[in-house]
Amino acid sequence: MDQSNFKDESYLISQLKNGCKDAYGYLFKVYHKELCNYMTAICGNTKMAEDIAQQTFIKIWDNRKKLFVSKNKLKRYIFKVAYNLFIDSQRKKKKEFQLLENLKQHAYLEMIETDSSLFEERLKKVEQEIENLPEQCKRVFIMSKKEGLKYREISEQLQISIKTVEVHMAKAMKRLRAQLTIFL
Amino acid sequence: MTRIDIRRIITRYINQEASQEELAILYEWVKKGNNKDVFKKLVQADFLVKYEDKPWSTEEAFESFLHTIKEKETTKVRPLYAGGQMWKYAAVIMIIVGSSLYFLLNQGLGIDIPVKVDPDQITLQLENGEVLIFDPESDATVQSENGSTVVSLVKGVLTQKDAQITEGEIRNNTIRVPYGKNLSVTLQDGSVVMLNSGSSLTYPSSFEGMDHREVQLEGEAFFEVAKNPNQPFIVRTETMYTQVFGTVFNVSAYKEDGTSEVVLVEGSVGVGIPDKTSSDGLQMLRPSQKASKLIGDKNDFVVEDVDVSPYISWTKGILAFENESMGQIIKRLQRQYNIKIINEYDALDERRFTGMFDEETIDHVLRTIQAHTHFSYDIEESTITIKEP
Repeated sequence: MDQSNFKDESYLISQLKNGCKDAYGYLFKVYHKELCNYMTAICGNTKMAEDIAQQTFIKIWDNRKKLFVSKNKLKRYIFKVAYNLFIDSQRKKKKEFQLLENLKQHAYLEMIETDSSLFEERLKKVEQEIENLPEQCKRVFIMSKKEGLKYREISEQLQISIKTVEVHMAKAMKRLRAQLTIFL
Repeated sequence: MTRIDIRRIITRYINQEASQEELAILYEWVKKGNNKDVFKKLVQADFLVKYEDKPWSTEEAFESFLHTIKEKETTKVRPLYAGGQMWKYAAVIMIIVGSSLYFLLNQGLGIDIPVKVDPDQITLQLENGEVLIFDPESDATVQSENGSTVVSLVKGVLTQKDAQITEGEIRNNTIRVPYGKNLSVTLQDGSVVMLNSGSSLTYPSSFEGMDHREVQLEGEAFFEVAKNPNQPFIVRTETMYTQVFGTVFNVSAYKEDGTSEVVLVEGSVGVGIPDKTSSDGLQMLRPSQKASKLIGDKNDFVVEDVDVSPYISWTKGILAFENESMGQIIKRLQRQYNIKIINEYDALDERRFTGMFDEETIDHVLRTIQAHTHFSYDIEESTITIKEP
């Protein structure tokens, strides 16, 4: 089968509905990596991200007969399925905070819908801003965000108080946000 | 409410760390003015900061996907048989089993380990009653008296070679791991079982010629099961029967814990009561689900979605607690560190903690917990006594 036909989204969707395995192969090729990266940034755990991605594709397969996606919304659909799986796995979310959850989900979906070159550009900008942070502030920030350490762990490792860690983090976030809001 | 406070709460919210109180504050705040946009931008900024482009095994994932959907299609017609491509592992699960009594009842030959064996050694008991002893700290190769079995322990991994066995001459072995140690065992079919402290596993030296592969477990183990649809893999514990259909799971059944649990990491397994002889009526688990059952309880299993990482962290030498009661934590510390802990401060039993320790001393672990709640403790040789502050 000619894989290039799948570039036509409505054709791809019809083949997904038919259960055409090549169409699913194409879906993996195009979205698997990005979906894994995306879920890792959201849930902070690569194993879990991979599991969710896998369950997402299986879910799409299971529901293929009911697959109705409007034009150019396939990517959004896939990432939404993944996000809902993530939410399900978190259980016990209070209903009254649904608004927050919805906003959060929207924020994430907006990110995946941005054009990839623009997205790359933003990532670079963030890296650059992190590089520009004052030395200790940068160290604290990387330990927290990239290495996922708790404030207490950072305070122990760097021999500084938790309060100081909080101050560094607030400062870093303030600077980053100031930059990001300009181009987001 | 300063902007810094709100920012901090949002960060904590994204990291799933916000308290109910903070959530309520955030909820009120976000409804005002253009705060919705501010909130979204902070979420996006956080996302960008955490986003990394990593390599992922897409092809493998697709293969596994094809396999899963194939199984879904075939189960309608021919349950339990998936044919087609062979996969390295059929399932990885973790099982914790309950009772030492179980083994006494099931070992027809009455082969208790002789008393002279040091309880801190790994022992492998062969069907003929012979006991091979290993020092968990050093590598060794040991041969049975009649020379037909050669077992070697290399870097915590045990492998066994038997002289050519003719059918009907399958032998059962029982491996016991002392408190404070872990051990990985490779079975004849290539499945790998990692045993946690204070656990034992009974398994045949070969599965050849059997219509299923069956092992018995007491304690806790992490299984990576070699795929073979023609020979289902079954783990029996005192209260549970787990059949592997599909790769990675953890089973836990320590008698002192009072519950049996199976946590599925990958693949597909079904659980049932131990006197099950067929796969009918098994409760199927999806990855990241846990089935648990109180020992002695005749009721059904409780199945829930879980984050698997705290359940399998022990296989990486990490001790993790996820909202676990101190009573439960004490039992785990006793096994992990091979010590006795006496808790004289009853109210502490019900307090819950979440935390992770990577090869830290028991003293460090207790001091860390102490930082969150008040109690005092004394260490005397291998006994720790916890007291009211």
